[in-house]
Amino acid sequence: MPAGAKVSRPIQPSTSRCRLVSSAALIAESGAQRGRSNTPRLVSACIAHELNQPLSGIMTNASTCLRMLNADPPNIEGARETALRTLRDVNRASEIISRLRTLFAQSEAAESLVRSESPVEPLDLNQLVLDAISLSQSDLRTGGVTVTFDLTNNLPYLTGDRIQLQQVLLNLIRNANDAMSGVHDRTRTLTIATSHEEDDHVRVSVQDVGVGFADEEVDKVFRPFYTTKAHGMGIGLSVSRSIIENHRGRLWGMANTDGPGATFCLVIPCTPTKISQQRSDDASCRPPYALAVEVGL
Amino acid sequence: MSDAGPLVAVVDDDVSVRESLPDLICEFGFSARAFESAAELLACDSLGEIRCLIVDVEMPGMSGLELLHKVKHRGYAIPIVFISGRGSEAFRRRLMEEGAAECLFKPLTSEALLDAIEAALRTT
Repeated sequence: MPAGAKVSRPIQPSTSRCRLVSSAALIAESGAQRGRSNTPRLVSACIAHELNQPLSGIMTNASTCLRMLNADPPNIEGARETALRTLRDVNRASEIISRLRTLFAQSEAAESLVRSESPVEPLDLNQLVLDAISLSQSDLRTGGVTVTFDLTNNLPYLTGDRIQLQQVLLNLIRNANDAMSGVHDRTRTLTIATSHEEDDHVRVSVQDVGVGFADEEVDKVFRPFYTTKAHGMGIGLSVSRSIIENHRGRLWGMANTDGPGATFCLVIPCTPTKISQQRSDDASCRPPYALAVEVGL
Repeated sequence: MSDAGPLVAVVDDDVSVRESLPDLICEFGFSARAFESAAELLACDSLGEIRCLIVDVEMPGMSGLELLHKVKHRGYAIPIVFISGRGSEAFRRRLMEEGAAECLFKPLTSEALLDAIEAALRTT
């Protein structure tokens, strides 16, 4: 005869957050081992894993509950406790679902992340940057952020998925904005710069003067489900990195050395010469980036 | 913790597993104890009383597999049933080759868990 009634303990709150980090790190590693990350697979693996945790609890608690009720005499108090825990785990699962809903509602463009076929076209990095700032304008204004541009003219084109790359820039801008929300003793400045790197790459950096992060967090911030935000899903940077890696580029972050805040940089290879030549005719027609002045918020 | 039956220890960093699994294990008629991490288990002075370990594979700090090697290295022949959120047969095979008694995927059914514990206890 099992121990039956046990000392009743308070039901512990969910600690899914720390759990998310560990499991996600594992998934991130397995992605890295494959050498190339696959965004939809990565995201669905994370979601599956996170939902599995509360589902596991639900299954175990419900089984325990039934056994307690079927015992002779039934252990009503124990069954009540396990039923309450089952509900707690159901809430935990719902929380994951609602966070996912929020994430995907943030932008319709996020849908492109799960589309297998998306158009790839020659793109002007400066224009992508300006478009992303334009799209973020109202958020940046709300956040009281001043935008400084340091854009290099006549950058070579890169080839990529416009919506996905825009998604990455929007994410970096949103993170910078969020990181500066608690800053009151200095101007909330977002500096966005583009350049042509020597090895035929174009580069963009997004610098903020926000809370920054500690050295040991440098890699953690790219782990799926790692977040320092109260309402963040924690997959923005990991998905962004996948997108950039799928464009044969690199995305990394670092704490600013000359003051508070962080800088995120990405490099993407330029379009091979053939396409560059095709586009060189209209190079003179490229926007002069006068918009930059207008959006200096 | 119950006085009945062999002692089964659960090692999982997830609090809901640590709360729910020991209760189910007690319902099976065993006694149960939960540990938050591999380090906490290794630091406890009653390692020798444990007849079966239920270990989460993916834990921060020392992983389930590292724990298996540490336990073995200390000279304990405690069968280990792994529980994992990653449902890959190849992964399960690898754990079995490393000396696991069983590897179950979450979410666990109570029948599968009971079978695994009983089979593990028969090996000792």
